[in-house]
Amino acid sequence: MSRPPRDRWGLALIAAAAALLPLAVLAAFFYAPRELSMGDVQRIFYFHVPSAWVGFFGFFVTFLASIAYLVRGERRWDIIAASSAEVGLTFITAAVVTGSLWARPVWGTYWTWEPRLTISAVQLLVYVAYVMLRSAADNPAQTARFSAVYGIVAFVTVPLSWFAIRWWRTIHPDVLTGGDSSGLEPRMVQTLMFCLLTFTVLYFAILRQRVRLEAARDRLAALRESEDLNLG
Amino acid sequence: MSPFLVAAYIVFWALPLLLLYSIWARQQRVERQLDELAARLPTDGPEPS
Amino acid sequence: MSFTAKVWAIVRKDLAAELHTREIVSAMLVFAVLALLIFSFALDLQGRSAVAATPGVLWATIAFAGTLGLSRSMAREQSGGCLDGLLLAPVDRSAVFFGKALGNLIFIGIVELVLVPLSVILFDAPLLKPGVLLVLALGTIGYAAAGTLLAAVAVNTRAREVLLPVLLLPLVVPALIAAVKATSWLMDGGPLGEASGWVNLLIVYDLAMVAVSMLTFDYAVSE
Repeated sequence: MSRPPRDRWGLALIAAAAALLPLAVLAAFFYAPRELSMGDVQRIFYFHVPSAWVGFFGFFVTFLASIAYLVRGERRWDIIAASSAEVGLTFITAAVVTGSLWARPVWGTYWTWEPRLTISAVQLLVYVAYVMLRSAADNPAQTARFSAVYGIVAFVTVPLSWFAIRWWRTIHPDVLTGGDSSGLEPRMVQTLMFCLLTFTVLYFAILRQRVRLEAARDRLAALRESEDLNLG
Repeated sequence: MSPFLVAAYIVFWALPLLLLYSIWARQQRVERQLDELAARLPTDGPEPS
Repeated sequence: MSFTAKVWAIVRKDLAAELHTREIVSAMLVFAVLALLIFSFALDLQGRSAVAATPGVLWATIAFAGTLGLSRSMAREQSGGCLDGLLLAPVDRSAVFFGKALGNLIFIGIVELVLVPLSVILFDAPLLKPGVLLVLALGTIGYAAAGTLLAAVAVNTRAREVLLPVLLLPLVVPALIAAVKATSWLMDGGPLGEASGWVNLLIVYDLAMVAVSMLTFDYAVSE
């Protein structure tokens, strides 16, 4: 039997994400009030922050799964680490790109070395390094081991980078992202929370699919091996 | 409505959807290969656990 | 053999090999000097702009040149088969890590001993202060620890040395920022006490990198 039974959890997660996403968009555009200084462009915030959140959360999951893999040596932890990195990379990319799109109308420049945007860019590069490492390793065992090591070491530097970049920027204060750190109205906070929830569900939904893909690949490889054994 | 706002929300939707599509496409490919392989294997051969 | 003795044995082995071939330090040194020159031309460093840019140029150069030495140092183990020999021996893996990291630290330190006076001369930057040298040491320690670990990983992949900068550089961001900021501050005559935030960050970074690298080194080199 090469096909697993119907993935109820996976379908449930996708259904939940599919239901929440349109609601999140509606909330961001209609429930949340118009921001005074930036106008409607500020609504990018409601999807931008959750994207960055997932970007970092994804790497945190990779970090935990990497530790689990080194400690237990079970393939499923390696699958989770790699899958979470792929999903996280997608979302951190979205965060960086939309951060840039937000910066342009607000500050007149496509890039600003604002702490959150900068740390997101660094995280993007860390993800890219992780992915490159995975494709450069010679065999599956090495891939798993090496990327687990990197997943751990790299994540440890993330909070340190966060502080360093933050302090780096407070000495030359840029125009702060006006509005999102001070004086957020209640409806803005509610919208943000709802969008954070939505994106977290979306993360798990996509992660599940990616993990299933990897599990299917493993089954294929095992089947191929048994075919070789049969014929050889 | 600001073009940047529109562009940003397109990015928010496009990237995860592209990822999902990529996963789905790869899944289809693997399942096709699994089916082909399963058809070729003799039924009295050792089953993978 | 005690832990310290094992570590020292590895350091001595690396130093002896380097004294014989001089390939690691010379490669790093030449690259570093060239980098200083390239920066000078590219950033048009003259007069006051030169002084202001010096900490950044110095640390960027160390960050890039270091990867050469780290790669070479690990690759030399591989080609000589020494690493396998070391790992087969009943030597604690963390002793191997400390030995290699210390050796790398010394090699990079030698390069820095040339780079700093050279920067003083080229850019007229007041770098020869004890605070600056402390920051130099602190920054290099964390860099060497993470770099040794990641070099062991990179050298075993298809991409080899090319992968090391990609892996290492995003991880040295905190140390780089802290070191440049602290150096800048000290160079301008600021008291060390007021740069304590950056120095503390460097110390925490060093501790974290040494700890994590030591803990995971075994997995990086085992078969």
